[in-house]
Amino acid sequence: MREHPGDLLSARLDGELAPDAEAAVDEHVAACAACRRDLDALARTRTLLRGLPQVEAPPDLLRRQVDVRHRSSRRGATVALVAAGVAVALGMVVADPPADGGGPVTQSLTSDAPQGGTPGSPRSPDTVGTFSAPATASPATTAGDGGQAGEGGPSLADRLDEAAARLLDLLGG
Amino acid sequence: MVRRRSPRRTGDAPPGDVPTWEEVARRHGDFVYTVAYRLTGDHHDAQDLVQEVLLRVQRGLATYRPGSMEAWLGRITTNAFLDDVRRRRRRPLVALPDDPDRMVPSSPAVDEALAADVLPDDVNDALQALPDDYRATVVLCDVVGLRYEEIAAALAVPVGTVRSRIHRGRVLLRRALA
Repeated sequence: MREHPGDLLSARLDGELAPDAEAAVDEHVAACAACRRDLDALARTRTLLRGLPQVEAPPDLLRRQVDVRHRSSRRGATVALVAAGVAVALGMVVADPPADGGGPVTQSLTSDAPQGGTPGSPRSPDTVGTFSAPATASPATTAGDGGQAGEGGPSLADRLDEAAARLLDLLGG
Repeated sequence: MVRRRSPRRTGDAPPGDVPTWEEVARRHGDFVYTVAYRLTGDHHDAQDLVQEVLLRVQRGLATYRPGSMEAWLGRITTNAFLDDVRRRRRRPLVALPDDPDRMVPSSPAVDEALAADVLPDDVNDALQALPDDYRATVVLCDVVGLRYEEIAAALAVPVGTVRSRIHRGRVLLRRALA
């Protein structure tokens, strides 16, 4: 190799040259005092870099990160619980009729049911009507009434009656 | 109660090769912080970088392939650093002459000046004076300990570019420490 090796000197130090390239660099360095000095200085620089000590992370940094992760995973569960609580509370407000001393929680939990009630739920027809009025307006529960709905649909009283009848059927088996 | 300890790779990995996120943070936290500090040169910036790295680790742990955990973490840290640099352009790249070797007077006096009693802080300061891409490459080589091909893959550049950056980076460091 007649030219100076340039960046091949660092690659030589790092053992990153193919055998023939390494031999060529070594041959040049053996004959070139300037490159020998460069190689020596580069080797010292490399040693200084590789000898840099490990830096200790601030202990609270990693603890903070772990805590954040735990909090975020707990947050999901907390949000779900709060949401459930709010749903229950709303159900109580909406579904709590003055005459109904029976479990409002049960009512609220069944308030999503399209039919407005669950078999066995002890409640009066009036209470069920409160739930089923919006439910019967949904396509899923008024499939048979679709035509009528388009022409104005059944009155609220009719729907309440229908819901009460359904519940009585369910309760009566 | 059966508790899932860690995300598991499917396939050829024997159980236990993929640590939990907490284990990574605890076992390799100092290593990640060291790489972050060598890249940023500032404790505040290093902490920000570590936060970002740990988020990336958290997201990427399921795809981790057993091997050198520190090499994996070093790549993530360096790429997070370079992403941040590109986003903020806080230290624009400095155009360097084609042959930085020529900037360095090659004389016995200079080599003697590069004595063994150079302090780590001096080396760190000199490292911070490098252009970001050079520093990232040198850190991956001399702090993380990756091979040139691994660095090329991590930074998505040719191996020749890696070789050039490492050499030029060291030459500039040598001059700064002389």
